[in-house]
Amino acid sequence: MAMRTPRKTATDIAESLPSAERGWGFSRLSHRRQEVVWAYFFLAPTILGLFLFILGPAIASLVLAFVSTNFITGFEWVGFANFAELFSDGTFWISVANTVEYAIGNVVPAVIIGLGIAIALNQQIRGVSFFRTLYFLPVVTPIVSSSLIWAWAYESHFGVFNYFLRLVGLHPIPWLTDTSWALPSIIVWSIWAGIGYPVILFLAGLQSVPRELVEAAKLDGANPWQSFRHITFPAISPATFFIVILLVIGAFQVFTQTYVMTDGGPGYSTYTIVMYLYVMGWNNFRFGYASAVALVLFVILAVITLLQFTLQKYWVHYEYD
Amino acid sequence: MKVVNPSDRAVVGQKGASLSRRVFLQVAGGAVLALPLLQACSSAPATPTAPAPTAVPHPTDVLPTPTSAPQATAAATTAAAAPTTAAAAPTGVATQAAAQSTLKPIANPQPVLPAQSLILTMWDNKPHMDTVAHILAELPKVQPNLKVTIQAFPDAERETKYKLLATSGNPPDLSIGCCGDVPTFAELGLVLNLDDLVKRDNFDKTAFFAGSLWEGLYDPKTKYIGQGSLLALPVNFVFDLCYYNKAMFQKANVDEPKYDWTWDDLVAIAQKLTFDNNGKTPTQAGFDKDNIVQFGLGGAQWNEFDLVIAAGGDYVTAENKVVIDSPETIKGIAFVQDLIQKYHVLPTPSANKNIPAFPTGKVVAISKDGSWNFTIWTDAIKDFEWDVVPVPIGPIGKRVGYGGSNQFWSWNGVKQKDAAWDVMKWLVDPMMDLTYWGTQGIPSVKEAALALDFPKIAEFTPKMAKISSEAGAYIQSSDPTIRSSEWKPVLAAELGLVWEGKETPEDACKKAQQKVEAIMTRK
Repeated sequence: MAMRTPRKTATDIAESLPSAERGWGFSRLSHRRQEVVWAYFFLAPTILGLFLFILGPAIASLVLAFVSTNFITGFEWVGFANFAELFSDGTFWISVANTVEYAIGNVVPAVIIGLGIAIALNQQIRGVSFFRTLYFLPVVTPIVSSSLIWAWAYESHFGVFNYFLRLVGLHPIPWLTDTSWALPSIIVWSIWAGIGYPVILFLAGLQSVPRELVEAAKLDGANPWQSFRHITFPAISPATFFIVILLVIGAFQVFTQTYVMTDGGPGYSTYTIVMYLYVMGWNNFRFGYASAVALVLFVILAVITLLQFTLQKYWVHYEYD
Repeated sequence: MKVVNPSDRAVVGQKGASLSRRVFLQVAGGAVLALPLLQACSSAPATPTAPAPTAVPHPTDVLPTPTSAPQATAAATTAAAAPTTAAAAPTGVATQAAAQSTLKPIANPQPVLPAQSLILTMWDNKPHMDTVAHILAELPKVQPNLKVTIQAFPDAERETKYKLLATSGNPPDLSIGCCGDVPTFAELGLVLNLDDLVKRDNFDKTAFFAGSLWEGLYDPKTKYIGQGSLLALPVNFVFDLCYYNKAMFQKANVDEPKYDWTWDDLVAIAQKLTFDNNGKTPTQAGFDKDNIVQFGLGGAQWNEFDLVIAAGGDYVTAENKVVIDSPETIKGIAFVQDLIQKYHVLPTPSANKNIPAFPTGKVVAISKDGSWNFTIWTDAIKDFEWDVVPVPIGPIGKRVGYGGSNQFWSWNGVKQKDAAWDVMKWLVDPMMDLTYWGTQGIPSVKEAALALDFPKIAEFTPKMAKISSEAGAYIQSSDPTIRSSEWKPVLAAELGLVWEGKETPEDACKKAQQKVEAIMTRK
């Protein structure tokens, strides 16, 4: 049987033509090269955006951390002077301590409560869709709006929270006007405002837990806690890991709610790293110094994230494990 | 900024100046109070002189209405002629009387400029915005081709927005600000030097009260304010005073504060006007400080500065010297802490910001607030009777309070410099000063402040006229030094612990002293 000659494609034909017959410019390129060009063409907006709005400013900020400038009266190379000043500034360390307190106070309850709500929503109960929407609603509400409303609710003398406390015979709490209460109050708001996000992610994780494993454990006599402890939680540990990473990064970048609700006060009780950065940059126009703060924040987050990746082998179980 | 002693103002802030801010308000208010006497003594109004406050007759209940313009001499002959008809009252402010006086312009007329669009940036205070809008509505009288658009920002963001715009390469054409804006921006080289324009147009700087012009002067070599080049033009002069709710006084059966009340009187009265939810006052057993439903003291101008300077203290002088840890300053801070923590008559500043404002007639019996609200509240408050009294006399035995001028300026790099300058001149034109700015403070142009129309336009009661007349003698600015936007939040944060009773005034002031010194001495 005669072998059939493979049918030539348009590209083969085009490439077999003498260059003069293939035309000029772009059309003279081979098909593969044309595809490469098109690929770069379609990638260009993303790459440009990456360089212009993320990598470019990040690199500029890195350099600015070693410079003294207000962008008006010039630039002066100061080496590590910004960092020396930063580490000797008590206000910076207060902002670090507040941020760590906020991160712990926010992330731990958010993960636990978020998981609890997700487990509840994963049951076959009526109105699940309604509750899912309800919990996610604060996430899509603008932070500034909900912060302002909560600031009113927190108001010491006339706020709704203290109104209810008085109704039940309790003393009112100076939610946002006392150095001891202000940060916890903001943490509570943050948990309320952000809980929908871990809930949705946990839900996705829970729904991917192999049902047959749970049923097999049940047949083997495992109680619900044992089933959760040994089947469900290991199965959703990658999702948990992902959620913790995101929440920690987000917590260290806390700014809007403290800016709106307390402006860092009373005293420095809600002054966070990003607020310190903002004030140094946009209030004091010390952009070199603010860049140094940003670099330190980046290093802190990088170390924490690296630590989390290192420790994940002890508690995160991937499907292939 | 300079402060310490207002009587030093002319020496420190304005070398060689003939009039200090102190004299400015003495003269302005004196003229206001002289009206009854003038009218009683003469059928034909005379140009008012500037009597010392002590020579001012006691105010009568009703201010007389001027029958004719006392200074209608140099009727304007230029394009900048003052309006002869009543200007529409700005929305949101009290219905104002038409200005009958005709005040002469303070600069040579300028040729009509070609069509240009300008941007004016300001805070988003509606009465102020309305005032500016009404003045600009009359701009075609002098510059028919200029169109000015107002861009307003929340006051808290004003300085940052201004800096961003000024450094963007496309600054606004002109801006309004106060309280250290000019030296702060001037230190960065952002503010346009007006000296050449002043000289070119024969602009009469002496038409302004020197004390009012003071904050617009800056010396780039020493970084001191009150001397050097002219960078900004003042629009009016405002100050703090106490507004009180007469109904609350009557209900509590408390005598209204006397004109020359003291710190002790303040405490005693405020304690009688502060109630918890069981109706008990702070001096009664069982008073619940956590459930206060009415405060004796409060107000939008919650700031300790009035009381610090009343104790003879200060924060940063005009020569940029930090004096926060001085005994006098600590004494003032301690008194404010006592008002909050010991006497329970004043909310902390963070609690105060959510308390209903004075015009609601709720919660606060005595409200320290700005003089600019007098005319506005005269029109707005219908539900209860209220009155005013100057800030109380402090331990140094004489009254000292907080006040200052708002300023207009333009920016270096502005593309339409001539147009901006012409608009700026119009915004401080004597007739505009009298007709519009007069509703929100004492005009900064002497002739406007002395015009017989002024008290009527401002709707001043005799008592308010008296307070205004004397304010110039004791008002001090709120430390308008360089970097004030940087050190004031630092100080406020340190004092936050004091207001909560968690730190002593001494410790907080020492810490603040070090931090503010570091800011002021930084290269």
